[in-house]
Amino acid sequence: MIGMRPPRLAAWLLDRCLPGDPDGRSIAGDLYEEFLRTGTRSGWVAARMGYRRQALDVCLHALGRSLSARLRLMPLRSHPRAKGRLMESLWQDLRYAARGMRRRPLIAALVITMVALGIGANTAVFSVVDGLLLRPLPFPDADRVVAVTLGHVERGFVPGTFSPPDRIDFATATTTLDEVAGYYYTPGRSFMRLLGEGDPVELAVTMVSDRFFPLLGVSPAIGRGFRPEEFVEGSDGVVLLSDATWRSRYGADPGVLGRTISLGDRPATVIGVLPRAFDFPDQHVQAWVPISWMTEDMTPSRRGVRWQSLLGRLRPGATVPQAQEDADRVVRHLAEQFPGSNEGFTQARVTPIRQALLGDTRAAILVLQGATLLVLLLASANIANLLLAQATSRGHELAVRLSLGAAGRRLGRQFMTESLVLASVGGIVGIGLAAVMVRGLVVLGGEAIPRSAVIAVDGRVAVLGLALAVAAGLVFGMFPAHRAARVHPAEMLKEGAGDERGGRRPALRSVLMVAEVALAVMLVSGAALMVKSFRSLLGVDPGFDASGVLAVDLRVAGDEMESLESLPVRQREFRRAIAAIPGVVAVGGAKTAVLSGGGEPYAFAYLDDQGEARRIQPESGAYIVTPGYFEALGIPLLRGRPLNERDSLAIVITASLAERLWPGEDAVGKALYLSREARFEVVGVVANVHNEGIATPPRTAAYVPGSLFPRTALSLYVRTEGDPIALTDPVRRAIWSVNPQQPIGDIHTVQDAIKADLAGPQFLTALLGMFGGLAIVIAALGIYGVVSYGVARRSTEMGIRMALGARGRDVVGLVVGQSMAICLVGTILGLAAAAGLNRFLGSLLFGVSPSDVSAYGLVVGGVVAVSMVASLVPALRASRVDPVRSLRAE
Amino acid sequence: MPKHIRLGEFEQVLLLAIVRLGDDAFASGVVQELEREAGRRVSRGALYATLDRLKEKGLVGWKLEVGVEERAGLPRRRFRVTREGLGALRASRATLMSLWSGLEDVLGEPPR
Repeated sequence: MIGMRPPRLAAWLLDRCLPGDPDGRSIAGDLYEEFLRTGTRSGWVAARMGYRRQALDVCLHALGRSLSARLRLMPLRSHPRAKGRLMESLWQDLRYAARGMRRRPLIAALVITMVALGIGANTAVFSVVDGLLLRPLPFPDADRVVAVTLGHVERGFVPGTFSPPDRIDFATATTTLDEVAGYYYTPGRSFMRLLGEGDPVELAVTMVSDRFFPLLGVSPAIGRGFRPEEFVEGSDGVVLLSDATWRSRYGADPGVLGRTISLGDRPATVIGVLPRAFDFPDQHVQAWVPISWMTEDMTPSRRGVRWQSLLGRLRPGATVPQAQEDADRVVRHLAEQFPGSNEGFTQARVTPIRQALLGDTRAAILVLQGATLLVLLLASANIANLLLAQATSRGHELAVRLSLGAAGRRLGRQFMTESLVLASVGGIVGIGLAAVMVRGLVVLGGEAIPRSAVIAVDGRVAVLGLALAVAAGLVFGMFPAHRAARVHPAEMLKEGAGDERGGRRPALRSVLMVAEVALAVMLVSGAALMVKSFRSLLGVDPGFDASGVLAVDLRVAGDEMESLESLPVRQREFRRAIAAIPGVVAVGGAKTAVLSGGGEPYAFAYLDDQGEARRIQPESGAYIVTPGYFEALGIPLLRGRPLNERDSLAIVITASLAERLWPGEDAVGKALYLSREARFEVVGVVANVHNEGIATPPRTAAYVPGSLFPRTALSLYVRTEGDPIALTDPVRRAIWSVNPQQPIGDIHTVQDAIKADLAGPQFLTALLGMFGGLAIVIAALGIYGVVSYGVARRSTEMGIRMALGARGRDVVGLVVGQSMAICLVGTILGLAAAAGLNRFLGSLLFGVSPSDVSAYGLVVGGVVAVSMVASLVPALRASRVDPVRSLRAE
Repeated sequence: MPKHIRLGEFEQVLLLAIVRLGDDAFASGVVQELEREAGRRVSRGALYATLDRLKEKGLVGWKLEVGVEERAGLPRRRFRVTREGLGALRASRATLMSLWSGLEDVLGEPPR
């Protein structure tokens, strides 16, 4: 049966593994011969099997032999004892490392502390990265879900919401999204009062359109989802609860299904509970209701009233850029079709949902992760230097072991083992530290960290931390191990062994020093930019006077209110009662808290200077305020008068809006039309205000009277003569004197509100500043160590120089000059790297450019000064060397 | 007399098989001989690795022969045990014999 072929893959493999000489080919021939023999005797299946097995066997042996030849190890298989020896020597190394740690506890403690801090910071920040960026969102195929925001050519993408008719038309016209849904939710604002069974509480509620849950692919854990007919206005109320609310409020009782509760003064039947992990749009949401909850008289379903956030799910095969193009086309078409309401709304932005949820946080945590990695690298460089010095001072020990027959390679491995042991211990301590740090991060970060519930040090994060520690150990163990493997015993045993003149060794230490300085410059420059940015944030004039103002959050609603119209009356009673408190200078309120935005997106018509009718929507929206608002917050009135109790169709606008509408003219007395009948007269012009946060530049805004726009939410501002906190109790009593049942929300000073607004940047600045400070300290220690070591090593040289007439000054100059040259190289490299890296800070900086020259100048100055001091101290010591004594030592 | 290299057990068995086969000591024959006489299955990888090692020690040698059709034209090695190899076998036998002698009662087995 000649002509039968052996299995092709096995033959190919054999051809690869065997040498091409006749010896190798003869082996192939043996196997082929046996293949034929087995085939004719026992069948071809057995022959092929046998051939495969033998080919593999031969290949493995050949591979093992060539590997062991390369590694100069004994073949593992035929000499099982070799493996045993390896394990035995590893055990020996480990015991030796442990003894070394006991003998040199200071160095061990230093190294472990540095590794623990570095690994702790990295692991803590990585658990944030993991929780926010890597872990899947609580719904399937989350990478197919996108957020769509609507932008105006002039006003941009804030708030980016759609009107209900626009949403429906968008859903029909899109060709790249197979599901489109809208929802309404403002973090910290969207509350409804839940009554019955226990104390009244305010539930954070999201209103969702019919395709919301199908789009996300989420259905209730128990009960059922919304039905299409439940989205018709006037249908019976239904509500889905979050798992947390179901547990805390109803004790996880499945019997709550079908029960009718009172939510926001309306009856609603509980139809289901969502899965525990589901936390969209954020982790605070406690209940979801159909969007038809928003009735026509609350918010009219007009094309010009935009209040719904839009979600879409990409059609199979569609990409985000395609969806982006498609969305642009659809909104442009809508703008052409409905110029009256949609003119200028010609931009859309399609963002993957994860990115949309995180916003700027993504940049911030990546910057933090980068900074912690740099700190770890810096610490590793420093530890390498430390261990290198230690290896040199252990020269005698090495030399003795070498002369007793240890192989250089073996000594190198010994040093590597010691480094890895130190790194592992440091890593384990660091992971423990990280668990504490994460809790600190989440607490300090507060609202600056979204989805904080999913952040924790878990198994995979811990494994990564440990891997990072081992990697760091390999990095810093490499240098001393390399050195130990090349020790020459004769040289080492010579008298004065500390005096090495080999050119390469100092170079290695200089390289490490350059790296340390460069890393420190990178970290400190990032920190300097953040600090500078934060300082300019602190210097921002918010447009109001925060000192001496108390803020009280109320929701005036519930059983006690007969109708929407009576709201302004009740709100006025509260204001009057508070105004009567001695020490109160002014009282005013608004629907939304200052600095948190929340202007309603109304568009007004006006006549321009040509007498032509035009439309304008204030960029920041129309704020609904009560009389006394400007006085209480100290917002400067530039022209006209503030709103008063008798006003109804009156409006106050910001200076920037007045300038936009009627440049160079007096705006007071002009008219803005909400509709043909609703003619608002501009009664006053106020200064521009940072309504949407300190870091957001002020945008055009209008202020309309609350009497015309009744809203249940009310943030009251109380300007006082003295300490506003002292009035907390009197204000409470005043409110309860009007209505003893009125729940009172948060009471805080406006200065605290500013602090809270700056908490995110402050948090990031503090952390980066801390890393920067740490970097400077580590680098300074490193420089100090290298220079003092070098000085000690060259004490003979110094002695000769001084004996030959060099003065102490010259010696100092020599030592400092050399170390400064190294620092300079490090600084230049660090600056170059920082210039590249700091671009990533761009979106996080306020009022500072990532290439701010003065910040870099400061950093260079600081690093140079610190390096100078760090090398001056040992240099001075060197200059006091007694030449006689140091020469005698030779 | 030079000190002989000590032989591993498999090396010894392999050398003996080659000696027994005489002029027919090809790899396939060696495998069959080992399976028949020593009753052990031989891993090809171990076989070739051991042969290489024995060659390095100078205990075996081989001659290459041109391929025939049954081997797809691939060459064939005819193995032979060198003088040193025979010496090593003899030394090994001597060591074993002296160790064996006198233990017949304990082991309850007559020497062959």
